[in-house]
Amino acid sequence: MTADTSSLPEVTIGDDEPSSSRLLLLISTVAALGLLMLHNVLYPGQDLPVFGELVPLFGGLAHSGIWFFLLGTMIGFGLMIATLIGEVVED
Amino acid sequence: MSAFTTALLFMWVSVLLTWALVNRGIPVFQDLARDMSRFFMEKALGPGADLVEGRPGSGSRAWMFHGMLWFCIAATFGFIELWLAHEPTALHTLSTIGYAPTTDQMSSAVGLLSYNAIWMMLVGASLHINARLSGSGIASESNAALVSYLYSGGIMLGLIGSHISGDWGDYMLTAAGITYLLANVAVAVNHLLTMGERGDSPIQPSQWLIVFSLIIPLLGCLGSLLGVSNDSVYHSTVTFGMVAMALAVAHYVIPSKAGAPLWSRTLSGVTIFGLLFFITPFKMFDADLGQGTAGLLTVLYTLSLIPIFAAVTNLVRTAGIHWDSSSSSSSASITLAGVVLFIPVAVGTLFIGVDAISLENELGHLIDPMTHLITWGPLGMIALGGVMACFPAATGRELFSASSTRNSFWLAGIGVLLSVMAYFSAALVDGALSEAEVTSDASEPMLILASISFYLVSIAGIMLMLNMIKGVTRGTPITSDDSGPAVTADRMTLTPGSTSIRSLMSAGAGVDTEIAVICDRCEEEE
Repeated sequence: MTADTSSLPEVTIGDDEPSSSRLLLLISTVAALGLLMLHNVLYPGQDLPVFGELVPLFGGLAHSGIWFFLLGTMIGFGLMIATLIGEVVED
Repeated sequence: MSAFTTALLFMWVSVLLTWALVNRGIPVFQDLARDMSRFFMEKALGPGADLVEGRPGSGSRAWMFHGMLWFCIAATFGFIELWLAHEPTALHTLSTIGYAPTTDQMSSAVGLLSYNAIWMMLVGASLHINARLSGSGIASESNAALVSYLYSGGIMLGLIGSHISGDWGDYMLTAAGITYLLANVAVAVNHLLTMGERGDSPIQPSQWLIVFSLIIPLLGCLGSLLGVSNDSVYHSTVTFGMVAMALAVAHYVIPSKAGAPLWSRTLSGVTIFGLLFFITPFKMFDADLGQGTAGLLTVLYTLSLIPIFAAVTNLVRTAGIHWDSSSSSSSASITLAGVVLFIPVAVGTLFIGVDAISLENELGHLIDPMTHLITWGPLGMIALGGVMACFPAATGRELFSASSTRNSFWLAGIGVLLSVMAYFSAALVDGALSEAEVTSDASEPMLILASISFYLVSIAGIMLMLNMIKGVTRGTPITSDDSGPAVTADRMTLTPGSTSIRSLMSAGAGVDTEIAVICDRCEEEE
């Protein structure tokens, strides 16, 4: 028996969300921020363009490897708050 | 008589008096004291007591939740402090938003955060332990929960105060200290009231250690107010509180998870009374010693190894009775790892403490890594084990993921051990270079390894916290039958007299326990 595909539109979106998609999103974000650190390698001593000009705090973010680790901690604390709110709302 | 001897005698007499009062109660005034304490803990708070729920386990849960949150923050600050040791300018960009702590301020903040976070976790576990062993529940759950917020507020004040130099920083640190004192008084009264409701059950080693760990620091404060204290004795009371509370939790977690009673009653007694009467040199490296106290203090430092060795042997042998059960439990494993770490800590601090007394200061460069080891090794790991074991029982639900709990155990264990080894190596290299009057950054790779490996502890804390949050709402409910393996003794000996089944079960008897009544005079009387 073959599926009847004539009633399907050309573009569809499913209701289910695979959990790996969120993981991929997270990895992409971390990778993008990590690649942003390449700026420091290519242009040592210079502030991050745009960000550094708008907010002085972002000027030297790429100057030390500690920010890689602090980024992970910040994501962890963010997850904590998000989980807490999510669990309370769901409960 | 020197101030040191007077202070020591005051503490010893106070300890004996406390022991007698806890054991025998307060004659005549017992009911009055109990009723007044209950009134001040609940009714006198007015609407404040209604702010928190008084459900069973809520007090313990609140302390552990707050403690774990501060643990994550403390571990993050600890990581930053280690990183700044090899790259002091790493966070200079934060000066644009006004955050530029000095090395001393960062060190002070890490010390304050880590000590109080671990203390909160241990107190939370102790509330559950005492309620369980007393068989009555905590005397005032709402007071315990409310006081956890007070203590947390104190930590926040202390954190801000430790970053501010000048009078305002001092004011905030003083306010934080008063907050801790008030909260600890409330917890101590709560514990005493709980123990008062235990009926005829004997007081277990964990309960003795819990009560003394809360009362001895308060007696140290009282001694200071009365002018009969000495800097080293006062420091020792604070240190005693933390060590005794950690051992109290270990004396409950390991037997309960192993499903076996404590291996030796004598070693338990030696642990309790040895800790009370001798001064452990943990964290006493900068105590201001009076004239002529060094000899006696050295003797007391050395004797303090006896209760530590006794506790470690007793707990390791207890875990060994049912090794399968204890090794398969994350909480028992991490607690046992923390207990074993007491040995290098005790021996190491003895050497460093005696070196500090002798004013030779040949081991001064090891003080920082040793403080790191004491805080995050035995104390931190036992606190994590206490939370892993007691939080599910207090909430009535298992932690959300057993594998996540196991990962937290491995991350914390590896992180602490690696960072301690690297930190010690760096300190030894720095010490050798300093002695040779050579300037070099040879220790930098080891400091980098120390900071990166300690980052694992921070991640372990966050993972456990997430596990706890999810576990409260979605964890598997614990039925009364599966609250862990029953602790039963194979054989017990009794002397003639009357007792109850409840007392026997509290002492570790089970349905299969063989009970022998030993009577020396019975045959003569027959």
